[in-house]
Parts: sequence; structure tokens; C-alpha cells
Amino acid sequence: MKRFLILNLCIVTLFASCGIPTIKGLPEYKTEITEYTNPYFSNPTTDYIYKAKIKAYNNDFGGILIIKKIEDHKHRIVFTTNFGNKIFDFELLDNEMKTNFIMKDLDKKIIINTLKRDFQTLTQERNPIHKSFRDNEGKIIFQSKTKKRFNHYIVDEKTQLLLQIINTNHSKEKITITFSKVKNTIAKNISITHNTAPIQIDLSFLNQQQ
Amino acid sequence: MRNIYTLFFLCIGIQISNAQKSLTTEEINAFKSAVEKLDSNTKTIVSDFVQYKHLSFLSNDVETQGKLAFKVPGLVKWEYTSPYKYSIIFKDDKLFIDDEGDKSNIDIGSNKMFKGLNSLITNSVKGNMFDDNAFDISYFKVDDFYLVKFIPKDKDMLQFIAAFELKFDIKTSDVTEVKMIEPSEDYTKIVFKNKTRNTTLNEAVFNP
Repeated sequence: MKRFLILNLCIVTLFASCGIPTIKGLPEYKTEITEYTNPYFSNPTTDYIYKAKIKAYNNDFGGILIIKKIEDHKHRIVFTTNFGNKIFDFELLDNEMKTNFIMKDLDKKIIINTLKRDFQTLTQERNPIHKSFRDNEGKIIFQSKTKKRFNHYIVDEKTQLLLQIINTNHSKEKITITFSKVKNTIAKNISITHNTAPIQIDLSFLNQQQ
Repeated sequence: MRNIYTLFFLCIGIQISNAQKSLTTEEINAFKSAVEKLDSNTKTIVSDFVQYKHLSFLSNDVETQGKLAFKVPGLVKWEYTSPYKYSIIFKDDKLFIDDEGDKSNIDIGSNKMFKGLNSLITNSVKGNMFDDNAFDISYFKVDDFYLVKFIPKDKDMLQFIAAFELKFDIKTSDVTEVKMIEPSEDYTKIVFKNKTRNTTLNEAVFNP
């Protein structure tokens, strides 16, 4: 009997921890859309220039983050110091990333993989929808599967604006990207929060035309 | 017909030689001593600047603007004012950063990279960085300015800077432009404006 109870407790614990918190308890939403398009870095004629503040493991970095769609499915992502020195320079093509340059001190697999996942989540344009949900506050959640994780695109049903992207595994929210002050499909403020590591990136758009 | 081609290429050749002409040894020596004299008489420098970050894949260069202040022996404040506020101050072997109100500091006493950065900034603003041990240096006259190219000898530096190019006003021997060229040929160009030497500069400017 005791063994049975322990087994039951284990099963209950296992199931309880398996649910993705982002969509837990939400009803499925019927939609004919099969693909969600992230609009924010999709214009190949726009230079997306952001002032960046990065806090990682008690270190602060400031600089400029430059993102540009250079071909279909392909983004160039460059981070420089305020003086203009490159810290890293990547090309993202779907699931592949080419490193054109990275500073010696940052040239570590764990750092490159973290950056790759962050920028892939941020910029990946076309995302096949696995399931859709709707919450009580008028938000539609499009769930898309990646290799080992899920991306959840939280969209305001009325305005159709993409408010957040939440990257999860099967049980935890890993990365939360929040877009605010959106104008002409440009998110003026973007925050990237790692929920399981002390990494926070805050971006504010620099309008070069002004 | 062949003569026309010869004339054409000769003209191009003359054009190119007009655009960039190597200095003679005497000209180099005269120019260097003028810069060194200007430097040794300098107690303070204040200037505005415009910085252009050129990346080959962008439609436009990323443009930022700001002010700099220098006071002997090694106080430097480099301040971006537009389109955002960010400043760094080199003082007492420390680097003080103010990133839109977020303040932090780094001890650079033992940090080779930051010490190198400090002397590069100081020397390029002053114009006096003719260190043949650190750089392969070549001197040119282009239109109404001198162009000096510095190719770093340090292998670590070469990984991110292929060359520095400094432009000097022929009349004043003062630096008007600094260009840092990366191995990829992307570059950062800083153009100085309203540059003045030896104006009174309150030390409080360098308070973090």
C-alpha cells in the first residue's frame, strides 16, 4: 500500500510539473492560420538599430545591437560597443548560425548557444503553428514547435499586435521576450528575460532618421 | 587609338597620384615634429564629434554624436549625447561608466585591454601616436590634409583592428578625423568638430 501511494505521488508530481505554464488550463482556439509571422524584423529595407543594455551574471554591458534581414529567412545580427568595436557578428539562417566574428572572451559554446537561441526566438519570421489557445484577457497564443522547445506567440486579439514571445521546454518558461511601444511594425522597446538564468537584455530603438 | 588609351591611363594615373601622395622623409619629420610640438604645448582639449559606424550590409551608417574633454596628464571624458546619453571617464586608473543613469566602474590598473584603449583614445585625440614599435606607419598627403595609416603589429589587436587612419589639417597639424578599420573592412569613423586646445577646463568635468 505504501509503495502504491509513493508511486501515485510520483506520477501526480510528474504530471503536475509537465504542463507548460504559458498555456496551462487554457482552452484551444480554432483558427485556419497554419503559420504565425513575426512582423518585427521582417522588412529587408529597414536597419533595425537598438541601444542595448545587457546584464548577465552581475556583469553590465552597454552597446548597440544591429539587426537586418539580408535575405529570405536570413538575418545579420551585430553587437558593437558604443565606440563601434564589434563584440559579435552573426548570420542566422533558420536553425543555422554562422559566426563572422566574436570577441575572444565570449568565444565559448555555452555563450554562443545562448545568444543563438535568443536571437532565433527574437527574429524567426515564419513559424508553423502547432496549437492555438485563447486566454480570458483577449490574447491569442500561437504555439510553435522548435527542435527541443516551444515558442508561444502572444497576440492581442483586437489589435493583432505581437506582445510577447515565450520560449519554453515541456515544463518551464525559459525566455520571455516582451515588445512594447510598437509603431509601424517596429517595437521601440524590447526586453529579453531569461527565467532560469540571471540574464536580462533591454533594447530601445534608435531612430536614425530623426 | 592606342595613343588615346595611353593618354587616358596617364590621366587616371595623374588623378590617383594627386589623390594620395606619399610624404618624403623630410616632410614626415617636419610633420611629426609639428604634431609633437602641438602635443607638448597642450594642457586641455575639448571637442564635439560625430561617429559613423559603417557596416557593409546596412543602408545607412549608424550615426552618434557627442563631446570629449581631455586634460593632462591623462583625464579623459568621452560622452555621447545623441541619440542617447552614455559617458565614460578615465580617471585614477579607473573607468567610470554612466549608461543613461546606470553607473558602474571598472578598475583598469591591471587590465591590459582597457589601458590600451585609454592610451589609444588619448593619443588619437592628441594625434601623437607615432610609435613605430606598435605600428607600421605610412604618411600621405591628400588634397589639403595629411593622412597617416597605422597598422598594428600586435596580433591580438589585429584580430579586431586592421588599421587606424588619422587625418590631420595641414595648417594646424591637428587631428580632424579618426578611422578604425576592421579586418572585414567595416569601420568606425570619428569626425571632430569645434576642437579647441588649452581652453580653461574645470576638473569637475571629470567627476563621475
